[in-house]
Amino acid sequence: MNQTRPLVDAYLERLHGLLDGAPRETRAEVMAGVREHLDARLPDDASPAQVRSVLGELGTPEHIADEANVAVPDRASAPASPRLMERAWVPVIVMFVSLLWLVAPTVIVVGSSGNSALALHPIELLALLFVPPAWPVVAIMVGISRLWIQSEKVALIATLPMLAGWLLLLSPLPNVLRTVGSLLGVVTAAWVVVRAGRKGLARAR
Amino acid sequence: MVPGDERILTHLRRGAVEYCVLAMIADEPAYGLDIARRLTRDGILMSGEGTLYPLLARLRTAGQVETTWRESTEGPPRRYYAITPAGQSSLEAFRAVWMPFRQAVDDAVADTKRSQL
Repeated sequence: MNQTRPLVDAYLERLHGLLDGAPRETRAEVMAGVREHLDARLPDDASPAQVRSVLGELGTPEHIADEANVAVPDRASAPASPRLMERAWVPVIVMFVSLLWLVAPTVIVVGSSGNSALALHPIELLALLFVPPAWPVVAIMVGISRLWIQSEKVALIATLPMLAGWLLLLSPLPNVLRTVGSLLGVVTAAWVVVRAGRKGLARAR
Repeated sequence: MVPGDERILTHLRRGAVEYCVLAMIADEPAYGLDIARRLTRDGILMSGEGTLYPLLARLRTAGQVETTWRESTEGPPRRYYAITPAGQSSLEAFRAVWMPFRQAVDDAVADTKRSQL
């Protein structure tokens, strides 16, 4: 769609402008729906004729906006559902809680390298103490929410226990290796969490 | 289709198309493009595919449909629309009213025609 991108962008921009009067959520939802529709309909190398035909089938932005501005008929029987678990705070909390328990061990490990007086390295203690209580919170929220697809849910839920397992696995190693390995694990876990978390965040908006 | 037809259809669609959408996703969730294609196939129920999206947004606000994300074989995950229990009962209510309504319109229109002859 590289060459024809301006055509699509102009269409989307016009639609966005026309939806000015619609509720914020409706506007975002209509834009997302139309954008997804175009992504699915148009191959990357779509010709201008192809783009015009797809846009033609979609109808004019005015036509779509008219439909969006139709007064909602009375629906006494169906109040809007809260959809609590699809709001933006869900991915924010999931990322925050996960990252908090990822960052804490990092700080400890950096501060305590060289110290081997404890039978259990502080990082393992932390992982053992805090990952289990944090994990159910993340797992339940991710499990209930519809913001993520299956594979992302698995990634978000599995990361914390897998990191805990990794840290325990490293515990018999010498200090330097253990520190490097732990940091590597924490960084990878953080990357996985942020990547999946942000996808959910984008969908919540 | 003559412009007059399109105007009549616009009025008729208002009260009915959203139930057609609910019926399309009653058995299994579908994604937007799929619903849009089925609705616009003959130009009767919907004239432009794009008008589906405000309609879906409205149904979602009303708690009659909900969205989930699903893996797609081609490209990024897709938003799927599923009917809610509220949507289901709304569809049932429409079905119960629609058949007698359609019958009444058929009879009324047929009668008018006959009386003009």
